[in-house]
Amino acid sequence: MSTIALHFKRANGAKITLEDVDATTLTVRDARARVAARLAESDATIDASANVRLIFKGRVLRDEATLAACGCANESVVHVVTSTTTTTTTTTTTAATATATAAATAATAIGGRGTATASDAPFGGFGGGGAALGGSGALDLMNNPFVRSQMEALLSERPETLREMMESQPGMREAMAANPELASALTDPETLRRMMNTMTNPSLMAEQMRNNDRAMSNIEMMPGGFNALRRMYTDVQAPMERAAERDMDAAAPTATRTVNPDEPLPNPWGGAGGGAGGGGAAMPPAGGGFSMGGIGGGAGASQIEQMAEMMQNPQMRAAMDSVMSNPQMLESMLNMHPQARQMMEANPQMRETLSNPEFLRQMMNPENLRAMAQMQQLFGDAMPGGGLGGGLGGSMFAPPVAPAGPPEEVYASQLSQLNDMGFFSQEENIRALQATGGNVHAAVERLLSNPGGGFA
Amino acid sequence: MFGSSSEDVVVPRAFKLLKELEKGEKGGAGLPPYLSYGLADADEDEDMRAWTGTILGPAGTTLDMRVLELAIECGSAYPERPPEMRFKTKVNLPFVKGDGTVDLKTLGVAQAWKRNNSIEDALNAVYHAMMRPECRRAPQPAEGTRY
Repeated sequence: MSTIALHFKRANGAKITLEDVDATTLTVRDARARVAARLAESDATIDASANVRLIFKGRVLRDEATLAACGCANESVVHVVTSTTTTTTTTTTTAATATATAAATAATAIGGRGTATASDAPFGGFGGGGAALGGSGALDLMNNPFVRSQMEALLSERPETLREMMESQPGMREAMAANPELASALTDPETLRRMMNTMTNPSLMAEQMRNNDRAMSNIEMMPGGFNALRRMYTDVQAPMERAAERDMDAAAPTATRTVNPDEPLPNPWGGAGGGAGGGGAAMPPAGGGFSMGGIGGGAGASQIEQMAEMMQNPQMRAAMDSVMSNPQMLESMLNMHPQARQMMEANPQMRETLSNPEFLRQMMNPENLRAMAQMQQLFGDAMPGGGLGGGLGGSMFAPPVAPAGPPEEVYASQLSQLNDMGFFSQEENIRALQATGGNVHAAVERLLSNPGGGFA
Repeated sequence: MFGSSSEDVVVPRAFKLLKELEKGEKGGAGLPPYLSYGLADADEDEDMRAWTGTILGPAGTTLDMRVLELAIECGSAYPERPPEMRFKTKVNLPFVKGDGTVDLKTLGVAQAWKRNNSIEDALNAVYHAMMRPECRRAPQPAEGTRY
């Protein structure tokens, strides 16, 4: 037998709550008595025999009906009208005829339409972005509507301030200095706005969290006895070693291996859906590439976090360092991968960056990795279908967020869906879809988030 | 949320009414304690046309503390046009016709209506009109009398 909590609100705003109401058996008559008794406790002008009327969904509730039949659900708010003659008004029309009114009401049972409240969507657990925006804990702040509106103003009026914030973080500053494209992406108000939008959009966040959970449970259920961390470890290290062996004079990594010898070695650049390929374009390439490659398809930003953890392992660091300090080895590794090579040829500046051991080492710094992971998460979110799957790397770097082509074509199917739902303003629809990365559901919520008016 | 002039968004009828329904049924935040409304038949009325509402008569008027019931009709033109309201509880008010129908023109709602107004706004307008000088002292039928 499940019980519910009901709130009773009086015209003067006073509120009482009845816990443990069994709405399927409690009649309105009994509920009135309970409410009257409760009101009498705190209000001397009311005694338990006072005529208390209950109003819900625009009806005076009939005595013989049960609360459930009246549509009362958990946390419903029922209005209470007390007819006593204690008010100081001059008229005395409030007589005992009230019950007649109640009885005469042709109230029928109401099934109670479901009322989904998206506002309850969890915000918690999202740790990303703090670093990217220049301070941990920033995320909690972002959930504060006031702060958010200030950020919005900041974005539209003073984008350079945000850039300063970014640059005040050493890791970010270096990354941005080393890569102008990243810098411009990160200081583009529109990109930033989308990032924030995602961070603060409950439905997008909820989806993100769900994907996260799914990815994590997938990892946990992985057969073969690998725990997630070990998997990360071997995925990254083993390919590196293999590459090192090919290039004969690489320093031999000393880290302990826990690899199952039969386990196929993943391609360091593959797996992550072209993460490396797309990756180099805008991001500090080595970091983006390696972390993506190591992660393999189906993993997520949450794993990048783990990878950062892993990078704190001294042995791992040593191994990576030795690899990193050998530019030739690295280059040969890059050359092994056609996509990467192509990219290098197209972008000499990037080649230079990638061949700089110092830069690479910097990128492997756990702090930086973590910051990047968070950024990737953000970018990933803002992308249509970006999600967590292998596409992270690639999606992140499609510049900067929106897919190519006129929005009418890119979002053609979403636009027609919105049209079917009755949203006829093409302009608004496009704006909403762009802001939500093409997510129709989120776009609808966005379109609906306008305040109602009032003329009284 | 960001940089969007959401005032321009035309919320489709069904979405708007669902939102209003949710607010009415929660009855909580934002809804004045003297107003209540809900669907007349939540199971059958897929178009969400027929609603019921109650107004608690304002203090200091001859309707003080009376629970006044109304039938509210949100036609297919809603929310472009205001909902039609009809008192079920008998009242004597200048903006209420002989059959209980609320005269939206006399009330002023017909002129002031914007599409982002709501059932709540309409009921609120009725509530406030009850406190107009020509209404507050109007003699009322015995409580419980109905049309």
